[in-house]
Amino acid sequence: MGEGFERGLVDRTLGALADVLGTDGATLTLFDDRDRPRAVAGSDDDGRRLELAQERTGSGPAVETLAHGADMAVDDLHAARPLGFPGLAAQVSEIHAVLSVPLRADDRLIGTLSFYDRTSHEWQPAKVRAGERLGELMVMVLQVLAHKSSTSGKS
Amino acid sequence: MTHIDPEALVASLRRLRTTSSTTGIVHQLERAVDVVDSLFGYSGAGLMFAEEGKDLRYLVATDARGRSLEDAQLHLGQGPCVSAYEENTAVTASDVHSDPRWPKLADRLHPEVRAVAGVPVRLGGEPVGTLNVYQSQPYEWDESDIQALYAYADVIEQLLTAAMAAEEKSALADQLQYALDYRVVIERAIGYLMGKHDLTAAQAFTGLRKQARDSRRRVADLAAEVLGEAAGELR
Repeated sequence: MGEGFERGLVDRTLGALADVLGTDGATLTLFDDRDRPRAVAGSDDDGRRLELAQERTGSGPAVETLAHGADMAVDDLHAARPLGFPGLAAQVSEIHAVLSVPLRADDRLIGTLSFYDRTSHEWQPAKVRAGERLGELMVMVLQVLAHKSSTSGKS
Repeated sequence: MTHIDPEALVASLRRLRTTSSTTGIVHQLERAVDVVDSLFGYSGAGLMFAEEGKDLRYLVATDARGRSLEDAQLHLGQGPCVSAYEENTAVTASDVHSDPRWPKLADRLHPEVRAVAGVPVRLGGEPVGTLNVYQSQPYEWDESDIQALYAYADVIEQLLTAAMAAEEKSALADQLQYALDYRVVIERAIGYLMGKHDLTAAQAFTGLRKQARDSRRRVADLAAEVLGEAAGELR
């Protein structure tokens, strides 16, 4: 089992986590082995664009979460700063509400999981907490994949 | 799969290898059930697994009421979770105490287990167990409840799939079998703690689970230690 297996598993996990939270999609940004934030995955084209645009511009809710290690709930990306990220929104016009939660392993920040919706709305505290708990599951899956023997040999 | 950067994923997994390795599939499933419990706001949750070619047995329950739900079904060989497994589909009951499908179930249940929903946990499309949740009051399950539970069961399937890739299938089966077998040890430890500290079964179980979680150990290992101490006191 190689990279295809890992990609498929991350892909399915991301989709399932978005379904559990009842959002339109989810994205994953992780620090790589040189401590650079990398846009790893999006559950659809819009999600992928959202992550890549943030990686490119260095601005957005996922970037904020990686910088501060805290949740970032944006009701509408299209709102003016400081509530929204209009520059980013211009590149991902379909996406409005975004919630980014930090991912931690051994109390170390390893990345961020973001959920998004195509309509703007307020993120209720219960939903934010649920997003955090779902992040724990994403970390569990990633840790198992990271430590599995077939990956360990790759450089 | 077109939405994933494989090179970024592999580079990120390499970094993650510098974190401690995982604590085993059973511990992870316990954490996953804790999450489902807090996530949906239900009264409790549990996970049952089938031994190869045998009946369902409970692996994880969030509290003593949930254990009574799973124990009762195991004893009778029927109930919503057993049906969910056998029929490989979601099965719900708005109130198991008055559900005519399982008339004997109520006698063996904790009175605060009322509404129950079970969805199959699958591996490669085949059911290997069930994810169960319950409410302490009668409750009409709707489609959104079931869809969310199916999605959550899907997350558990990914966790199992990753674990199967990480370990020899036989090692994974051993871990699950160990947990299933050690339910007996847990029950005995609960009985001992109840007698020693004048606790209810629920208090003893909750305390045991909390201590295990806080010390990142398996409930079964802690239960065995408790029984070892008990044996030492008798000497």
